[in-house]
Amino acid sequence: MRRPLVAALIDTGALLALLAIGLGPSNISFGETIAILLGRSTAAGKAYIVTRLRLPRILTSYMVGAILGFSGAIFQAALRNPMADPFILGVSSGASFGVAVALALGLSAFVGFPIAALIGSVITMLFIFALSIKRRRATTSLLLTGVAMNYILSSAMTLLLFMNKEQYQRILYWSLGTFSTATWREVWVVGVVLLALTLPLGLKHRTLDMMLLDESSALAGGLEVGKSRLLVLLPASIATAICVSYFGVIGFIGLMAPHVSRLLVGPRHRNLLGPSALFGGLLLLGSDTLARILLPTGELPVGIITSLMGVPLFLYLLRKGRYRYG
Amino acid sequence: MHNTRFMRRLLVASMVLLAGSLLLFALPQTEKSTQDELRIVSLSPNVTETIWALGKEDLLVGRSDYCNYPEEALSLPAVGTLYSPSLEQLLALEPTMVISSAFVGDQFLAAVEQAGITVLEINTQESFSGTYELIRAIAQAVKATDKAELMILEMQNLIKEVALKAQTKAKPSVYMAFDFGSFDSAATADTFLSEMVELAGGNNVAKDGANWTYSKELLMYHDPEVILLSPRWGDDGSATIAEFTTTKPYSDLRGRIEIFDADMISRQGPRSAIALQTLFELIHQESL
Repeated sequence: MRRPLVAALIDTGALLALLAIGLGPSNISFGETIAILLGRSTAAGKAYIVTRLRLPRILTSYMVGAILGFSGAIFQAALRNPMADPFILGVSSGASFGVAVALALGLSAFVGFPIAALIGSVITMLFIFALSIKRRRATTSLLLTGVAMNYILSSAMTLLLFMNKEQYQRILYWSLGTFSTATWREVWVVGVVLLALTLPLGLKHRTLDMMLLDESSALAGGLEVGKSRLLVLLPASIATAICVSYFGVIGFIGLMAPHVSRLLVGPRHRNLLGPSALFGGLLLLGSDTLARILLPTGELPVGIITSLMGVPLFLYLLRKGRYRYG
Repeated sequence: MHNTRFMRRLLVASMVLLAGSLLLFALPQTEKSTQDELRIVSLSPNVTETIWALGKEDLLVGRSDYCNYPEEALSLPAVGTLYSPSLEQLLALEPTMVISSAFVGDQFLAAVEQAGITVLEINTQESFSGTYELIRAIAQAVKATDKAELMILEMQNLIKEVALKAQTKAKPSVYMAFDFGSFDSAATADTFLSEMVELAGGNNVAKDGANWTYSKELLMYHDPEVILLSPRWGDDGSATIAEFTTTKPYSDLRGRIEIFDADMISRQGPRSAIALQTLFELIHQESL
């Protein structure tokens, strides 16, 4: 079951990418696009659009989707909770708060949104880990601390915005999420993050399986749960934080991609991690393409589309499939 | 003897009482006569500008946080932003009239009206004819219609002059940016500013767009000759230009970049004609 599914997901992704590169608001025919990709076009302006705007955008959105889907599977296992997603430990609210502070203090021109967001989310995340990781029942403690931090940070951000209404639109736009800022530099950064996350953690699939058991059984199986949990959650959180800091908060993919994959391949992480990443990539690439082309001359926030498209699909599969979490 | 002294004292006392009571009656009356005068709170920057231009600034007792022109307006007490003014602060200024244009909530204006204050809500079209309507409506309220007509005539003359001169020039392609970065905001076809760019002799590349939003791809496709950039909030333009010219893909645009004063150019009011002249000068790099 697993290999054909992975092959199908990769094929669909490639097809979608090919379709996406031919679509866009400016008037470039599909034949011309192919000619440009093959290096046989002399129209410099159009070549710029295809190779410097569309291509990096397609690659980053796919890879960010993969990171979010993969991290989602990690979070759901390590926190033993089907409601968990990569944002639950303060990554997104920390990032938004970081941006709001930078704007309020007038630092945004010097540090830039991505750096401010990254600082905000990493500090928040480490704070949450420090508060709860060593406690008994660490999953519950982590989850609740994360939720509480999300509340306090979003209140603090709202307060900052309320005091600086002139900046409201900028931070709102940033937090809605978009890949319109993607360039080749982001492709490399996200590519490295994707590899650094998936290769080592992909080998830990047995650890993730054991984390879903209750702690004493895991311990009997020779797993030091607390340490392992930190070892998988920390890289997934940092990877997510980097994506969020560049492209804003893109919800739902990290929650949904693992669940959809679980419906198709069952709960074992050996089978689950690959499809979670591929499905996340597919969904985000599709959403971003729609965000690019739905308005004749403008852009839509991609996060809106991931939810609008993803939720009905998710609910459909949830009703149809045989679902097993652990 | 005692009697007369007593009578005299009585007389003086009654005189004092009489004078006092007269004074007491007189006081609220003088207060009432000032109440007949207009006391205006303006909730929109362009309304404040218009009242000032009509020479009726003495009638203003309050403004919104955003009313920053002319500079003297800043000395008036502010009652909050357009989106969330404070009703209490506004009532404390004891206005007899509140004038607002767009953005102020209906619920807020209804509350002001319930407090017995006249509300003048001016929602005009975003065009030059809309600007004249706005000026006339305010002029009527502050009784300065003659001055308003003169002002409008001057504006119309200047606009005609700019438009005529613009017709003799080549039309460069122009992109007027209000925001850039994650989402791009520009003067699209359905905005008053697109009309102004065309009047000033520019070819607005974003006129194929709508709703103030534009895409990077189309911007790069058009690669406009002139890029008009609105400074970020709290910046004089230098930091905004620095950010624009170092961020991909904007740094690959070849056009000339000019900073424009978004406050002056985007507010419908007495400065709209001068704004058009400024726009002409920015686009063609020469004075009128």
